[in-house]
Amino acid sequence: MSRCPSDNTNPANTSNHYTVADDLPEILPWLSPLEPWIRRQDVRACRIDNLGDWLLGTNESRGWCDGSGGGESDSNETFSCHDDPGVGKTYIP
Amino acid sequence: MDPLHDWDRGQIFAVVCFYFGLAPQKEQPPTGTLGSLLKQVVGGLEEIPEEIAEALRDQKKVTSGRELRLPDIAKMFQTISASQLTLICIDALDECVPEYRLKLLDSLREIVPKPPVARIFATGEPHILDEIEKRLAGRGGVLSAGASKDDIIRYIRAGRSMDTTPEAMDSGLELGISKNILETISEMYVGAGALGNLL
Repeated sequence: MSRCPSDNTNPANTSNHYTVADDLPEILPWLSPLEPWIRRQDVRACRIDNLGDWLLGTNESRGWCDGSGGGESDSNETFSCHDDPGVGKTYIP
Repeated sequence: MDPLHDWDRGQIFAVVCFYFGLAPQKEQPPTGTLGSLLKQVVGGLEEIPEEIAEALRDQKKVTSGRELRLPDIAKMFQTISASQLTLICIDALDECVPEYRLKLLDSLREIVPKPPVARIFATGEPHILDEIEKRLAGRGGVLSAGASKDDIIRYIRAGRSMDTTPEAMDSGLELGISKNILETISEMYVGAGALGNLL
């Protein structure tokens, strides 16, 4: 079974064809032997509620996400949060 | 990164993360980092792009298999990013082996600018900012932000509340530790008000 993503949200209007993910158990370890979900769950468990929420409310971050800019540049695709060790960057947002 | 999933009223379809803070991750070559990110994207799909399934079939044709190369991964990433917004979060980028880090940033530079949208959110120590801007700013701006004073204080407080040996802490030691953290974070965050709230 295949479909063209133009049936759904497809901002690029690409012509990629999709297939049922029967091969997924074989594909995932081929892409990476790492289990990134484990570390993500650890971080999630230690996260402090609402920490860093301010970041998602800034014009810069919204412009970054929707592609409208929001900062000095019209097209911001990278958002970096930088500070010294131990201040909690891992847990925001 | 959970709030990002709910952010912007569902515009974000895929949020993938890589944390460099632990030893196995720090030593990952770019293929390992990008492969892990791609694995998360693909793992969340109900249907996978035919290009990826075909790439797997192709590598099976080689007797001993063939490891993924950066161009392979970048191409697959671009295929998926072409049909859904992908937010790539990379934590503690400064802890990545420097040689690998440069290659990783260059690879991300190839992935991100492909339309319609992929976004990178990176955290790291301040010295990494120049490197990020130099490597990634060529095809789009780089926004940057520091941690807020309130967040830092809440984070320190939460850490202290989890102390399993509180009896080892006295008021003098606690004051010294907290003062040291705030003083070394950034000049803009140090102040009597902040310290007063903390203690």
